[in-house]
Amino acid sequence: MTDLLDRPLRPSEHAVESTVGEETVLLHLLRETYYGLDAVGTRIWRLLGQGAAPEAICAAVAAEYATDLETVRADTRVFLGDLLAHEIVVDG
Amino acid sequence: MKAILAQWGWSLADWSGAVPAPVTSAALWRDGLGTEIHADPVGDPDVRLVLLRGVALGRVDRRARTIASVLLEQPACEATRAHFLLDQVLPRALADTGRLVIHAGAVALAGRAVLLLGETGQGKSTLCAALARSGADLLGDDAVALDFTAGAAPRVRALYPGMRLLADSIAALYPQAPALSPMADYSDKQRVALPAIAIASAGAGWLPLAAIIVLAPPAPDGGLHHREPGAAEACMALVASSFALDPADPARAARTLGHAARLAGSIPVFELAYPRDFARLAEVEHAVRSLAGVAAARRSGP
Repeated sequence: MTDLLDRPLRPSEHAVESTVGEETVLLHLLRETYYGLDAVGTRIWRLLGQGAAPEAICAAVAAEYATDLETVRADTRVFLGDLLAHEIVVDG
Repeated sequence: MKAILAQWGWSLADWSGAVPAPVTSAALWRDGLGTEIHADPVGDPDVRLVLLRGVALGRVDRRARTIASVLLEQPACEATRAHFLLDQVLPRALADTGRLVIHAGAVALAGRAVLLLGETGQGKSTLCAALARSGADLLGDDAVALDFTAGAAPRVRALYPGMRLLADSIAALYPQAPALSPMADYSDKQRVALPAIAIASAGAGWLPLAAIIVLAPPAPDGGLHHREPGAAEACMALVASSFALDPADPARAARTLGHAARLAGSIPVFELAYPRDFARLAEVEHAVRSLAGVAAARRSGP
């Protein structure tokens, strides 16, 4: 199975978002599911919306938060897997 | 009922034509309690149908700002119609005009509104009634509209002054039985006649919002516990409690989400878990008043 970080993912057209402080709330219109993002999740979501590939997002987040890249990759894999399961991101 | 709708810029219309055939179209949306939203069968984009199967059907014309209804049950019950229009259709119609409308009970403490959110059965009405019994001004027990006038703190107003309670709450709260009337013939809740003074205060208009309290299920240890959810979690709770006529419309959903985010970012939101035990209701009232006090202290600053 293809590693999630190698898949071209994009925000679903059925997801709407709003910013609350440093956090973001995502709402999937059809599934009626809500998803709250912390500051790091918000940064990943923004980069995804700008068309960045998951691997590039991991590199950017690791640099910005001065965190080990492998740790970021593992956490991002879980995070994007969750968003994919809720159809908030889709294969693009 | 006409007066309540008129206050919000809507009017009642007669149901034109015969009683409709059963609605067979796929619902645009269905909530957890069985209310469905349907598109207009003849394709008018400004019309939505609100259906409570076997009970009532509402027709909302958002261009004309009219609401019509027809009862599907036999024999027809006007109390059911009032409940359907005031508690199910009006909040959705009003939300469609751009307001944030939330399923919440509301009381005023020291001139500021406190909202009690929670899923059906979590005790909003009982707690509102208990607080009103001990001196709070009752605003309403089911739905409130929010106002976000530019530059001002969010303000709130109940859609109408009302109190609906089950028999056990009525018996526990009122030593002398108040005047009651049925809420709807498919519900065991009763409408409690409010004293004139309560209605007068409820009609006072928009009030500044002090705090939002989300009523959580009882904790396993049976105690009273409160916490402050993060901003995103608070926002999600508000969206989950909000009304919509067209929940899947992206622009409307984004607007609701934006309103909820603004509210969550500007008003203290607490979650309160408490035992559903009438003998401990005074403790719960005290907790609500304390949380309103915390919110007031924050407004005052250090």
